[in-house]
This record gives sequence, C-alpha cells and structure tokens, in this order.
Amino acid sequence: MNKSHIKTNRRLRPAAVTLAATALVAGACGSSTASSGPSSASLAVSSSHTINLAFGADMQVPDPDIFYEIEGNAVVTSVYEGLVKYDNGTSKIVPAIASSWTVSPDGKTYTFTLRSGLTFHDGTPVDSAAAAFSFARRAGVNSAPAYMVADVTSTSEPDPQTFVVHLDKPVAAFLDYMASPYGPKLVSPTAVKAHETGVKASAPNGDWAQDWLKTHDAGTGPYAISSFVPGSHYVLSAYPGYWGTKPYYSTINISIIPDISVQQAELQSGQLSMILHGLPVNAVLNFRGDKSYEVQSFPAQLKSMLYVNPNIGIFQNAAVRTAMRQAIDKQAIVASVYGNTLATVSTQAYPVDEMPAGLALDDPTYNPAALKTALQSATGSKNIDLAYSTDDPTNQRVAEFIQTELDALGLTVTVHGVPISQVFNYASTPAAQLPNLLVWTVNPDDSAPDSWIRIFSNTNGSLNELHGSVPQADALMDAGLHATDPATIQSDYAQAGTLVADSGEWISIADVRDTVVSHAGVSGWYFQLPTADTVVLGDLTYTGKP
Amino acid sequence: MIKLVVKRVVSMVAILLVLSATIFLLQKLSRTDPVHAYLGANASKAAIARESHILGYDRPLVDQYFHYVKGVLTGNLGNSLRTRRGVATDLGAYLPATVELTLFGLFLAVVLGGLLGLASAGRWRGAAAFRLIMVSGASAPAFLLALLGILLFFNRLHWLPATNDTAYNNAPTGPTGILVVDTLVHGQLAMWIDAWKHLILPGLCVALGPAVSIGRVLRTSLVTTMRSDYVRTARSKGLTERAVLLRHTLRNSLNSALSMTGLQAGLMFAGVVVIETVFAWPGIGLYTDQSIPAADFPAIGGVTLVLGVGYVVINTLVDVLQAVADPRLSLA
Repeated sequence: MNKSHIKTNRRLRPAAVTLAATALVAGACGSSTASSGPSSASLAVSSSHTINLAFGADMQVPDPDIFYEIEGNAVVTSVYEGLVKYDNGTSKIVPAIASSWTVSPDGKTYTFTLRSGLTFHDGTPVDSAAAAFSFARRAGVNSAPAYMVADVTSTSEPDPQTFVVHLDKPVAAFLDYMASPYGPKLVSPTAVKAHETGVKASAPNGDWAQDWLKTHDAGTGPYAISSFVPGSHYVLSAYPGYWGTKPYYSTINISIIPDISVQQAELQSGQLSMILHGLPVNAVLNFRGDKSYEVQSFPAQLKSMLYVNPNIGIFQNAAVRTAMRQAIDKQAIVASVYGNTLATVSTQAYPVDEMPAGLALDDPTYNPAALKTALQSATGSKNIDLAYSTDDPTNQRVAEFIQTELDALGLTVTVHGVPISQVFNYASTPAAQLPNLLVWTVNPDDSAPDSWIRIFSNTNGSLNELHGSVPQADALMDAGLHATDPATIQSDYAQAGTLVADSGEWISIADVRDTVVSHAGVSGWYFQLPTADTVVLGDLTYTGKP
Repeated sequence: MIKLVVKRVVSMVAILLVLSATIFLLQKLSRTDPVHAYLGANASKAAIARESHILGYDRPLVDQYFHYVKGVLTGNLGNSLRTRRGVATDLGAYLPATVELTLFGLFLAVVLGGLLGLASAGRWRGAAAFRLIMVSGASAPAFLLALLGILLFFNRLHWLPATNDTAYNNAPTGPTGILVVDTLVHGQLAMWIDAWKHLILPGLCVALGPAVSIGRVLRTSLVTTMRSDYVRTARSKGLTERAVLLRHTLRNSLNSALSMTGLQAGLMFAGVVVIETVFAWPGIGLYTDQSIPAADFPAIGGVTLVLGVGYVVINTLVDVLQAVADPRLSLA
C-alpha cells in the first residue's frame, strides 16, 4: 500500500479564530480576526492543484439515471455530460456533447449533431449509438428522472455524429430536460455492459450496471470518480482525454462533514478550499468582509414558498387568502432572514429567469390592514397550524416571521417543524389532516416553466403538498406543454402563473440565491441553473497569488 | 456459564423482536413517505407508486413486518433507501469505525474513571482539581464539548485533526475495518499515527461522561470497602495507604464499577451519534444521522438491532467479568 495521496492540506496556518463556542454554534464565526493575514490555504490550493470540498451529507448514488437531489450535483455534472446544458447562470441552452441541434416544425423530432473525437473515461468513442444506449438506459433503469424520456418513442442514428430523437407528441420542455442537471447524460455502453449483473433473456441488460455505478462512473466529463467511499469521502481526478478546456484542478477531494460550523472551522484553517452551500447569513456576511475569502452569489431557481391549504379552516375563504398575500412583508423577510444577500424578493410566480419581467406577477402591494379587515367578516377557526420543512434552517426563520405578522393581525399561529420525508407524504394525505400553512424552499428540475408549475401547483402535482387546485391553470399547463409556437407557450404559462398566484394558494416569498464561499483567488465560476450545488468544478481555476 | 449464555440468547431474541416491531410501528406512526425520499424530491406520483410496489411498501404493514423478520433470520436486513446498498453491507462498512471509537472511548473512560475513583477515595494530591475538570467536562453537552475541542485543538493549536478517521484517501479498509489495527497490519506507520490523532478528540468527548459515572461508583465502592475489617487489619500490619488501596481494596470494589462500565459501554454505542456527526466520523452514528431525515427505516432498523445485540452481549460479558473479579458471585 502506497504511503501517499494525503487527502487534506496539512499546512495549517495560525488562524486566530474566536474561542467563543456559543458564537460558533450560533454560526457567528469569521470574526474580523478570523482570517487576517496571508492565506496559506489559498497558496496550497494553487500549488497542489487540489481542491477540497465538503458535503453536508452523502449524496445519492452518482448514477446519472438515478441521482435526483441537490447534494451531489457538483459531482454528477462534473463527471457526466448531456447533449446540451445551460449557459453560465442563465436559462439559455447551449451546446455540450451536441454541437448543434434542430427541432422539426411539428415539435416531435429533435436532431442533434454530436461533436467528433470525444471519448468516455474508459476510452470508448462518443457517438450516436452511445447516445441511443444512454437514452435506453435512462428508460430501462426507470427511476425518478426517467420521466424526461417518457415521451420518446424511438431514437435513430443516421451516422455516428447524428442522433435523432422522436417524440410521440410535442413537449415544450424537452430541450430543458436535456439541459437539466438531472437530464439524460451520456454513459459508456462498453463500461455499462462490462458491469451489468443479472443478465437473462427477459432482462438482456440486467441491472444496467446500477450496482457498479454506485461507486464508479462511465461519463465523459472533465473529471472521473477515482474513489467513492460513502460516509467518508469521494475523490475526482481530472480526465486527461477531456474534449473541452482541461481542468485546472487535477484532484477534487470531497469529505462528508455534516456540521456546518465544523466546515467553517476547516475553511478557516485551510483544510477546505470552499463551502458550496448551507452557510448561515451572518457567516456569509462575515466572510464577505474578509479579504482572505471570496463570496460568490448565483441566481439559483430556489424559491421560498408559503403553501396555503385551501381545503380547511379560514383559508377556504378566497378573500382571506388574497388578503393574506398582501399581509406578508416579503421585503422584511428577505432583509431579516436572508440579510438582503442570500435572496431577493420574489415578484413572479416562477423562479428567476423562467418568465420575462412583467409576466406571471406575484407582487401584491404590502397592506396588512387588508387581512385584518377580511378576518372580521370571515368565519372559521382563527387558530392556524403553520408547518415548515426542517431540511433548510431558513424555513424556520421565515415561518416564525410569518407567525409574528399573522399573530399581530388577529390569527393565532402555532409553528412546528416537519422532516422532509413527512412533507413528502403530504401530497397523499387527506387535506383535512394537513396544516393550514407550510413554508418550504423548493426548486424545479430545469428552467422550463412547466417543470416548476406542474409539479408544485398542478392539481395532481407530486409536490402540491397542501392540495391546492386551480383547474383553469391546469388546462393552460397542458396546452402549453404540447404547444409548438414559443409565443403561445409563453402566453399559456404566463396566464397559468398569474392564476396560481392570484388564487392565494401558493405565495412566493423569496428567490433564494446559491452562495459559495472560497479562499481568495479561486475564479472561473460557472453555475448551472436551476438548483444549488451546481458549480461547474471543471471550469474553476486559480488566479490568486502564487 | 452455558445456562447464562442460553438465557441471554433467549432474551436477545425477545429484545430484537420487540425492537423490530417498534421500528415498524414508528414507521407507520411517523406518516413519512420513505419512497418519495428514496427517489428524490421532485419524483412524480407515478414513479413513487411504481417504486413502492417494487420495494413492497404498498403491502400491509404486518406482511412487511413478517417479511422483514424472515429476512433478519437469514441475515438479510433489507436495502437502505438512502445508500441503495444492503443494510448488512452498510453496517459492515460503518460499524468498525464506531467499534473503534467506542472501544477507545471506553478505554479512556475506564482509565480516567479509575483514576478519578482512586484519587478521590485515596485523597491523592490534586484529586479535587482533577475531579473538577472531569465533572465540568462531563457536564457540558456533547456537541458543545466537541465544538470547543475542535476550536481549541484543531483551529487554534493545530494539534489534532477535526474530522473523519484518517487524512489519507488510500488508507487500508481491511482486514478488520478498525483503522488503528489495519494500518498496523499493513505496516503504514504514518497512517497509524494519523489514525490515533483522529481518535483522540472524539474519543475524549465520548469518554468524559462515562468516566465520571464510573469514577463516582468506584469511589463510593472503595470508600465503603475501606471501612471493612480486613482493610483495618491490613492497615494494622503497617501497610501504606496506597498499598491497602491498590492491593486489598480495589479488587473487592470493582463489581459495581464493572456494572457501570458495562452500562456505559452500551450507552456509548447508542450515544455516539452526536459525536460522530460533529466529527464526521464514518460510523453508524453518522449513518443513522443521515438515515433519519430520509426516513430510511431499513437502515434505522438495522442499526437498532445491532445496538440491541451489542447491549445484550456487553452485559453478558460484564456478568462474566464480575464473576471473575469476585468468585463469590454465581453466573447462574
């Protein structure tokens, strides 16, 4: 066994971190003395070309046809690539494996021209047959992201560089599916076939190498998985045969460190190169005031939402719901909870960059008196059960802020946290057993308007947790999804968004940004919508002091 | 001895049945959707229904329970919904790190507790200060103690690492899974030293509370024993107080301390969750901490069963050790 490859930078600098444990526990680290002076950690980052990251929890398996959560996006999008991707920080779709594409007038045929000379990490050439195999694997594995190819009736490969996808009906969001971090990625047929288990006549591809891909990869991205130890660490190594710009960092070490305070301590001591997400606002503000660190804030499509249960109690009254929209001081919440830094006030029913300004507005004038007046004539219990999802600490603070506001206006609000696995169960729980209100921060799979509104606000949406329903909006979603004219698509979703917002059953609070803190000198930031943790690691470089 | 083992095996089976039934009941009462968590937040209703059927979650709970018990009897603890691996495989990967941390913590607890008991009973110089430090440390919440330790020994003094059980990506993972053993077996001295460095902080945090408990029980027992006639005789023969304490009193005072050690060992296995989470220690505490939010009941159930077995085994060992320490006690 070789005595090498030490995982972490052992050159610890004398960081004068405050010893006040309570301050650290409260997330109030990074005092003015916390990291003054030259950062040897940054020097170590540049000289070793190794970057050390931390995840708060194990990611799902790094199999692109199974992976479907936020933590771990940076790994999957560094190891695998799709046909197209989102441009840096916007919803504009740009080439990736495919250098160009065309869509037939009926919206049912997509023809992709693949770049030539690309190889998978195992050396297998990337061609249209590999793309077809990857689409077949996505459908064959049939896990949650398989819906993105559910409308694919067939694929064809006229030549090695041309890949054609045929749909059974137009799907306006299809190209966004392809660009999504969760969209179909190209996997090496050679690697998959070599590691398939359970192959038999009735299952010619067996498990599609799902077992092997829990700890290995078969991608084309700038990095390959060289070690994947659940509960401990993952190591990515630069792929020398990568077709694009060669990554600056040759090695990426990712440790599992659940406690964000410990992550901060390791960042300050140089063990970690950056913190990808999860920092409390006061810590971000402290790092922002320190020249040894850089704070990057990206426009993710995370939205802090207030779900309203229209099926029980006083919120069955549409006038009360409408008045409550006006009673929520979004500006104050963004200032208080997000420090005017980690989020902006939500003014549209859709996440940022999904709909042109002025459409699908959810921006009522703040007028708390309206709710007070509405409550005077409304019948029903004024005792309100306000739940928040415990997966994000800011949800609690938003919920408590709303509780304070509503209490002052005549409601009696009780706040309680709910684990996310319980929130997931709400959609299949009778509405009468659900809370009146729910605060939750959510994101779509991609930047298509349908991928947001259908899942959260459609009557049958899988995350329509408090069973809201606006049938007219549902019809517009269906019409928009299968339309081919861009103007019609936009109009349908704009109307649907307006109807959803005006119903008062879903109140958008804030557009949450993705915030990354790194040592000074790291540059080349490229962030992919729509969710957090999608910093493109292959594009990172170091331009600080040598 | 055989009778004791048979009795304990029977009680262990009963405990495991009760534990597994409790887990299943909790799963029902928790009103969570583990399959949705398994697939990912934005999974469609169709995908959830399909996967529920594949995993058997759409079957009646009693059916699920009997299927689970049947699996447990054949060594199959089911598949983790989070890691998508067999729970038995996961436990095989995570448990050794917890055993390593707990055994080291137990060793520290016994040493520190023994010193505390002896120093207090023997009124050694500095005993009061030692006792104050120990009790203060044990009084602090575990997470606070851990964070303070990280701030002081990692961030400030740079003496000890803060997280994980090794700084090496290529540290050996066998044959035991216990790093301080495996690194030695593979002749990796630097890794062996590194593994010990990683053990110290979490080990101390795990050990402080039990050490005080053990020390207090030992002290009380020593003080009582030292009032015995035979101790008076020993003193009258001119033996020093230290000789009386160590050679005549200690062995006859160990029973209650051993019982407390056994109890604490069982509790330590269950109580390492917080410590492992703060120190990112790759053991079953971290595994459990990550499994709970995902409603990963197969994983939670597997950990619970292992802890239940461990608790019974440890207490059986304590009974045997007590009999060795004091042959007047009958194992039956």
